[in-house]
Amino acid sequence: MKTYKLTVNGELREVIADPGTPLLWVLREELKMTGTKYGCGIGACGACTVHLAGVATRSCTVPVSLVGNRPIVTIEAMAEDPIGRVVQDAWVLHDVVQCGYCHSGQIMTAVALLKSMPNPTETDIEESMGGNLCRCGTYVRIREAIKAAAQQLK
Amino acid sequence: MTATVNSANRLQLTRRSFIRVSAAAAGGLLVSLYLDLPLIAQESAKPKLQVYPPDAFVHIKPDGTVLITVNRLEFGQGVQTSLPMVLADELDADWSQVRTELAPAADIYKDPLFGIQFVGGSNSIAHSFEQYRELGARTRAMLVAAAADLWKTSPSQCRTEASVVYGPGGKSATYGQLAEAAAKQPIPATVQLKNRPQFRLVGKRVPRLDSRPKCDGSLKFGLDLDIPGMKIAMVAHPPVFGGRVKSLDDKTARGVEGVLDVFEIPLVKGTGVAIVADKFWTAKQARDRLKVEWDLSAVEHADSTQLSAKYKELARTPGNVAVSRGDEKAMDAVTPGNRMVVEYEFPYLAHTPMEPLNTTIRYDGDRAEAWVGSQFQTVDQMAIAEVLSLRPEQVTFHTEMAGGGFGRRAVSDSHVQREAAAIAKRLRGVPVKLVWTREDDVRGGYYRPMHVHRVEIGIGPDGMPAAWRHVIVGQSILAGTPFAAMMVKNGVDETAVEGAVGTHYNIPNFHVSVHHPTINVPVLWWRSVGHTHNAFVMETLIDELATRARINPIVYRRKLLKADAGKLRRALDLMDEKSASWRTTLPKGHALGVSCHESFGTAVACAVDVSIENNRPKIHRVTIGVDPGIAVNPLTIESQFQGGSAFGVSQLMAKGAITLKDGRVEQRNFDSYTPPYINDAPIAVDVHIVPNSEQPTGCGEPPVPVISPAVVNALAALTGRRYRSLPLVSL
Amino acid sequence: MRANNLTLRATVVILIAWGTWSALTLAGAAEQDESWKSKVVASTRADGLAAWQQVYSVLTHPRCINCHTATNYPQQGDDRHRHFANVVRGPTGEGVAALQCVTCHQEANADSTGVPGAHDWHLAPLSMKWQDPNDKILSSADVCKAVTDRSKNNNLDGAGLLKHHEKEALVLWAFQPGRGIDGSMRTLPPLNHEQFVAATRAWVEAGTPCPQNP
Repeated sequence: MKTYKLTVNGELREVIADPGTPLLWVLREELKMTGTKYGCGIGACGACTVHLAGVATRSCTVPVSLVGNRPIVTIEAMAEDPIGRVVQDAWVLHDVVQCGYCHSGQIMTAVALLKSMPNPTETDIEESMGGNLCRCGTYVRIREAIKAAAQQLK
Repeated sequence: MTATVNSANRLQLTRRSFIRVSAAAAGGLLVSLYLDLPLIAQESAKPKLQVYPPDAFVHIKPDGTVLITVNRLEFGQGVQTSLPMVLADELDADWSQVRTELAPAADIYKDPLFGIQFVGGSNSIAHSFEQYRELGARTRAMLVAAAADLWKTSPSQCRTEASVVYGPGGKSATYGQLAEAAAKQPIPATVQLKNRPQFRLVGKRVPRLDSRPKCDGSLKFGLDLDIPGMKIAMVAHPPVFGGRVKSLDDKTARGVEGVLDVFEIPLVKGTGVAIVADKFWTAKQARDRLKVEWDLSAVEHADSTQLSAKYKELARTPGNVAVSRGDEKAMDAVTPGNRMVVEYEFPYLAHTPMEPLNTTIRYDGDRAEAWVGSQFQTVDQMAIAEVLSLRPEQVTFHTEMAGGGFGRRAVSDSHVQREAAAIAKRLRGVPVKLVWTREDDVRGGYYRPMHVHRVEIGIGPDGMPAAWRHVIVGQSILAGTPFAAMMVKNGVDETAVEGAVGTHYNIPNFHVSVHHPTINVPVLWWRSVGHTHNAFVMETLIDELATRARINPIVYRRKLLKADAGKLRRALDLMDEKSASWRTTLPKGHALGVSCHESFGTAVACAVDVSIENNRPKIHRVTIGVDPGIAVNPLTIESQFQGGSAFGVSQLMAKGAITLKDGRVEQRNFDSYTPPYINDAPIAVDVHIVPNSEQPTGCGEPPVPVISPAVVNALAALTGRRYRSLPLVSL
Repeated sequence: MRANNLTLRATVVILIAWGTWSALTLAGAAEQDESWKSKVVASTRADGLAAWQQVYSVLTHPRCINCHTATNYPQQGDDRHRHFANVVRGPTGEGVAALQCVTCHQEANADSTGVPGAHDWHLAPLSMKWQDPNDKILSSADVCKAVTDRSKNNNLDGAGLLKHHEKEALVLWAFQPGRGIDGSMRTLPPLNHEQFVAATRAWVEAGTPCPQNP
């Protein structure tokens, strides 16, 4: 067990964890932040996506020992984020979610996309969202909502 | 089933509270409805109604909030919005004041027709539409009666709108104001329901109520539960179904900091090893360090290659007759040149809902509490009670929001809940959350069974099928379950032949039989069940016949459908109309694929625009025509078809098969068992609903059967090849 | 292979000395007995080609070639299947905006989660592809040609190639590739890093000769 000082959504948090513990489980169980989801544990589904130093990152693949002092931003902070809020609103307006389990990750990924590419093409959307799984198949509405959010942010 | 509620505890009575706050304690109106429940009634029978205090479906609070309890699991299909819409409409409630919650397990929440509390068969709306209408109408009647008393007038002088009762002389009172008085009114035995034109919500595109919390990370799924003192458990399962622990070396596992206990537990079949730890990662580390020697000698080692050969052999012999219409010998009269014999093969499929399976239980000796995102509350509650030597009513069973299900959370043997209960029993007093990892899920069985079909078709001079001999081979899902008595007859499991047996095509001399081998692989219903493979066979064969006869595939189907296949004809016509413009202007390299199929009472017709990109089908557009009876929420229906189309593509994915070798499942996670990502799913899906005032039928499963045959029919047009083996590994 | 290395080194040292002396003595000479020349060149070239084969055996090992693809995707595993989750090359070989290589791959191996890592994880550019678009590994001749083509190899000369093999973080990674998802250590290239560098050096000092396609 080691102590780690993590910056999560702007706050300095201290946790004690085994160094190999994925950031996902540190967030969920040490910090009780369950917005970030466990879907597969191997980085294949994107449900665990957070922003690590601004980069969309699959928190199930990153041991807490490799985080360092890079700031972590989770889904819980998106309502206060100017792009995050617009994306969430688009998601709600376009009735995107079904079971909803994948959407923390979908939204975090979409926000990362729009922060880096304010005018993504259909191909850009498909490629950047291409690693996020949704078993309910909300993909059609995800596309619509991202385009709407991009429009809104113009 | 009673408990005392004092005001100090009121804050703890969140949506999880099983015991409803009584009218006296919290103020408000409770309405309950107890339905007399035959075990499994005819689909067309209407339930007999009784009135029964006090469990509730509707709670109107003094502040005007209308809390509606939904007797179904919400796992994406939108029932948590659409059933409340039905009730709120008859109630004339202000929709913006409506809040919803999922019902815990209780008799009162059982499905009116099936007598168990469950979600399945796409029948949430179909079975509870009338029920929720009556609940809303009764509640409204009691509010009106209370107002009428108050104003010393008659109910006929009052009208309601948006949670307000209006009386003569400009009088008005809100539902919140009237609630307490209304609670004292007698529950009327009969009520007047609205006529269709009076609906204000039903039939409208109403956005779902649970979007925001699902978008901001605040909604808790079963896996997110955190109960004070809770521990985490995982189970090491035998690598071959039904295996047993022979010896266990847990020294290293126990050495992991945070591990609390390691012990053998019985499984539904065989035994496993449970690990209890303080956290998920601890439990996983410990389980990875377990050294278990398994006894795999007493169980069959299923092997996909061997099964395939065995099934193909079986398919060449007639099975148990599922339907026999016309002349069995008619095929002999068809000349060989006009006969087709084709063989289809389908693999095991896993559901892999995004939220891995989990169950949380606390056992207190004389009672227990369970939290499960369950499609099978009655069954799971009974199973937990059995393991804990309790009566079902001693198990408080909360229904959690679930991250998808597709049938995986409705298991007759409640195997996950039994594992959790066995662990909870040992931890008495300490809540434990049992978690299945994704690997456990992919490897854990309960798959859509593998199938082989052998179809012999005699083609008439008009190009229509004159004789049809169809043998299906696949495990029975219901054998050995409580449902067997009802749904397995004369050696035929209904769920294996649905979609072929009930075909609306007018095929004379139609003969379907089935073999149900017993294989050591647990199997289960997978969204649309038998239709998943039967619709694929039917719709690709019909398409092939149409091509052979040089008749347009839509025209051919119209010609072959029975005259009275009203819903399917209407769906087909609507799809025809709505896809006409793009069907005829497809770019080069694109092709059209068409299919139509009725399942769970809902008729669907589908046209797809497909090209081939990187050796995979690229689905540019899907146009759907659907007849679901009354469309309660067209927005929900649209979403179900958009999502269901993507889900149906699961069957075509290159890595979309579960295979076994020497009893061991070869796949482990999404890297080796891969569902559709955004690029695999259709880019655009437009859904068109036939206006219909018949009783609503479901839309959860009907989207699935049509998509894979339609896509494959398009591929056939592009490549000239017919695809008879799923998944599509190469084109 | 180790024995060959020593012989190789010895031979190369002698040849360089010889070559230097020869260059000096032949500088002004016009008519000399040059029959020795072909013998020296032949053995240098042969040894160089042998060294190249060793280098090639490493380059085409999954730990290296999985990121030297001709397609818009990396590969993974010893069977070199397409990397899961639709990760793609992107404009600079670092993935796309919201699905980058560093979305999962950190600066060091993550053995607890089975994800390999090293500084600046990314795909080799298409100019450095060692496979064809059907994922078939290119021949020794073709890979050698690509590796020595300065218009394709980031303008590296022999010394530059040697330094790349010696120091580049992603190259070093291949020799300490960490554990996979199933807990087992990833398989290693046929040479260790030291041997790989030695073979590279021998090849470079022989003038980076390339074999011909048969």
